[in-house]
Amino acid sequence: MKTLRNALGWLADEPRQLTGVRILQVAIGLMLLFRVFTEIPFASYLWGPRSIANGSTVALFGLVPGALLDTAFATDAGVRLVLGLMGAAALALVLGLRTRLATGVAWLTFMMLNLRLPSLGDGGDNIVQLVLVYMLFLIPAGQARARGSLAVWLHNVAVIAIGAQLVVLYLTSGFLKTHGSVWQNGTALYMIGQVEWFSLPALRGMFKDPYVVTLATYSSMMFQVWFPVAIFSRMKLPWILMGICFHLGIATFMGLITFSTVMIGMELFLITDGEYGRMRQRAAELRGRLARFLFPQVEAEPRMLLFIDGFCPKCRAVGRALGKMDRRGALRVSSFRHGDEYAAHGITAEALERRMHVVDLTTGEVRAGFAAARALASLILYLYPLRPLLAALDLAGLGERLYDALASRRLIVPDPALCGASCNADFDAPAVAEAVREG
Amino acid sequence: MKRVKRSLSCAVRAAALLWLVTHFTLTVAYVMPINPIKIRHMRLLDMTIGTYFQQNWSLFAPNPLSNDQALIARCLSAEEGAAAGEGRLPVNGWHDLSTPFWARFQQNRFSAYDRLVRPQSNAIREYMAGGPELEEWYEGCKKGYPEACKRVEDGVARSRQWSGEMLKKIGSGFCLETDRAATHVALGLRETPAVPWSKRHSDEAPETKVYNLGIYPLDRAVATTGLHIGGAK
Repeated sequence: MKTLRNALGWLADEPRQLTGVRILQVAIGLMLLFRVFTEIPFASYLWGPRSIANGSTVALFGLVPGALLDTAFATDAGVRLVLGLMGAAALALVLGLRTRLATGVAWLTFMMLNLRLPSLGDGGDNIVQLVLVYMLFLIPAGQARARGSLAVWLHNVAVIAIGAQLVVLYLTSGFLKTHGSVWQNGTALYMIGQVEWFSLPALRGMFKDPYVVTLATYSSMMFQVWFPVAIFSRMKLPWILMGICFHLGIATFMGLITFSTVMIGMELFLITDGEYGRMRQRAAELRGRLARFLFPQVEAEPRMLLFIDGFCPKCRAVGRALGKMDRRGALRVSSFRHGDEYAAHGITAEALERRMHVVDLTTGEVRAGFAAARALASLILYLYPLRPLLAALDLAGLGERLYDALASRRLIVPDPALCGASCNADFDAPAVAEAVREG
Repeated sequence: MKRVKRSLSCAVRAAALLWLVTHFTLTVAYVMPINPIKIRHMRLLDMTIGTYFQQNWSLFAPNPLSNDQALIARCLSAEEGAAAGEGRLPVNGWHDLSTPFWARFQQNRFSAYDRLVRPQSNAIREYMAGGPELEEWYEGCKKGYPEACKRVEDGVARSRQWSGEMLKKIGSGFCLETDRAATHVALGLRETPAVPWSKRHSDEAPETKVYNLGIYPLDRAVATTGLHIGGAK
């Protein structure tokens, strides 16, 4: 009883899939525009009074209305008028203008052309002619309807119908494929690749590989068979992503551009408004991160303080490089040999002689050695690509050992200005002389 | 008045739900392979979904197309037409009307070449076996459903009539572009099967077969594509 109440509530409350509906309208509009622009030069040959076509609209619209509609094909100008109307309706669908009227005109003109020459169509045309009927009941783009109104109810019934039609398509196609011998033995895509009509010679060799052809054939079949189940599960979004990739492959390899456009639109239609909202939020976050990366803003105060060994030329070079990479000014580099700022953070000079230290100035947290290197990689955007490598080294227990091995072998050249009686670093004089020459 | 409006709204909502359930029940029955329920309600399915919501989702199933079926044509002069009527067809001078379109379509996907070749490819399939719509009925006929056999028989006869007419127009259009002196056009199907998987690395060319699709008087009224001039070979 509760399920029924929820279902009725779903239908009555508010219009669903508003973003999906717009995407579907745009996809169908683009598909129709593509057809109009590519086929209008051959309109007389395909649909005109002297064309190869011999179909009629009477079978669908009845004797009188059908005969009336057929008069459009009595002249070449009439055919171009039908194509022009379809193009205008398609453009309106893309732009979201008077979408209900545009849907009606698109359906009528599309059906007229399909019935005139049925052998011109493909699966994409078939789904469009059905879906356009359901789309007549959708709330027009940009218009609002009161919650619980009849218009909302009909909109949501149409949404279910469009989704159900897609499920029927995949279920039937997948089910029939499971009965095909070449789909079962995993060579279906190789066979399709051999047919000139649906292949691209440049990619033909790819399907001669047993692994590629078997995996591609089985995954195509499994995608379709499991589609009705997947879209009601947590696999919905990955499945839709897989569907988009699948249809991009069909567009590229088989050349079925219009079919793929419509199918991608149908798949994107299934994503709910809530899911689109979350995706928009994630996209905004990513955009923000990207903007911060590309156009970094200088921070008022540094967030991290790095203590390096100012007597070590390589350490100083690393400090300078980090300073250049830190375009936001989030890092301040300090030599523990040239001051005692470290003491304020509870760090001893002995510890600093062994390992570099970073202090998170916002939390006061101190990290040393390899952990400090990881903290720097998290702070400086240019070092982000190193993060997986550092994490892997840490996981393998090699990070600290590697750091210590490098740190213990560093060359130390005391600064004579600071080197009084207490400066007694044990060093190799010729190496120091060379390091000084290098600057 | 408000009460009437409310009742009417409820009735429309209920009708919409009823339609949804009925429509998709019929749709599923219509698109599924031949089975006893489908056979039993064939008339109802044809009158509803088959007429107003026609659909076919075989989409390369159960088995995809596995051969190139090219339409070939030979424009015939009056003398050649008379000789052909007696069964003597010329051996030379045949043109492939499909392969050049496929080649151009492979070079430019954003074009109408696919759509231009579709009528002839589909007409050939219809002419030879009644088209993909009859595939499942063939299967049903093999399984022993007499209704399916009847449907195949009627379907092939019907589709051969219209597809023959279309092929004649396509052939006429070609001859009007390339040989205006021709009076007849002879049409054929050149079928090249796909190289079997087991021979995919061999250089052995598959054996092609040619079928006669008939000799037709030229339809001089038919429009042309303008693409054959100097193109098809």
